[in-house]
Amino acid sequence: MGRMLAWLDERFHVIKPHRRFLQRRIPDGLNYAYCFGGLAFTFFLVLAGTGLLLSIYYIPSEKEAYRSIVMINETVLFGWLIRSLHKWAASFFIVSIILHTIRVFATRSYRPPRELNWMVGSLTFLVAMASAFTGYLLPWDQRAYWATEVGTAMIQTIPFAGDALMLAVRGSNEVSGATLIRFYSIHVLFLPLCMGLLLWMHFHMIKRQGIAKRL
Amino acid sequence: MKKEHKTETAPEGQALTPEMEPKREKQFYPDYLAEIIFCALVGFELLLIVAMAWPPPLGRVIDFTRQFQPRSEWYFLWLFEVLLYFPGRSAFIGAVVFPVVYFLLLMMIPFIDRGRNGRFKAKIVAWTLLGLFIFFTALRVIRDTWPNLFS
Repeated sequence: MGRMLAWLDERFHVIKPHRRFLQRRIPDGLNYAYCFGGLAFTFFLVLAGTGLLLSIYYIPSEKEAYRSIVMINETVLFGWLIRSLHKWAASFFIVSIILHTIRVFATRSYRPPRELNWMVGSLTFLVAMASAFTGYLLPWDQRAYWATEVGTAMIQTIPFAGDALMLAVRGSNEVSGATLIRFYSIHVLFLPLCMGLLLWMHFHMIKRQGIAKRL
Repeated sequence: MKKEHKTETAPEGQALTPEMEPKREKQFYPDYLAEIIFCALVGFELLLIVAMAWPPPLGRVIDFTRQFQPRSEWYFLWLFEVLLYFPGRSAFIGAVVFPVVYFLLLMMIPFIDRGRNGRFKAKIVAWTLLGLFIFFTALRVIRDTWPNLFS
């Protein structure tokens, strides 16, 4: 460790900037109610990891999506476990976010100067819900299809622009193969990118401002 | 990484008892990091146990000829329930206005908590938001479990 670190430090000067980060003080009186944010991040990492693995076998096409899920579940080594982990981690993720939000509210940690971090956190929750919604369609089974049909029909209720917006979300008049590819792209590219950016902001602000002291 | 511990040596011939050790400030590394990693591991193990015990079943193949009553994930149930109270042309309120207002209120909590009664106002908003979520989720679960209860 020492020699490798010295080698790196000689070239990139990594120790000094990280020392302030690593040795910063943590206020007294934190308890395990403070762990839900970290837990949420843990589950996000699980979602990202299992998602990467699932994408190896999953085929986002009308004809093959369902079959590829069956294959993941029955043929691929530990495929069922990876799928199960991904599915359950989504629920655990949402629960952790809710508990984390309750903790931050209870300790009133959103007060100035941390308003912006609360807002970024709220957006994280929104992106998590959007990920859950788009991911739900991907198995392309009876339940997924009709849930998305109902879910996207809500957009149509917007006055004036409703029809156009729904067409933009579905990619066709009905939920179809076009919707599947669209949702797949949003689920694996757009939203994880947003999430990564939001989490980077979230953590960076904590790093800058420190953990709020107990009331 | 080497860390400079402030260590005091015990007086000659005396063992250093825990009370005599100088109180070190809690730092991110290694104190807090160890706690975070502990939580993360426990959380992951819980997840692993649940995932192994209850793998999600495969759904049925899509059948376009049959209308199907979809069940959403538990965290969307409350929104489905709210939809029921805004039939026809008012659906816009349940489908779009309600979630948008809900989310904006959540995001604006730091700005609601301002002035003399700020915390009180923020508490009312927060409890209302949480209450709505729990209330409508519960209603939906009841409705799905006993479909004939309300009709």
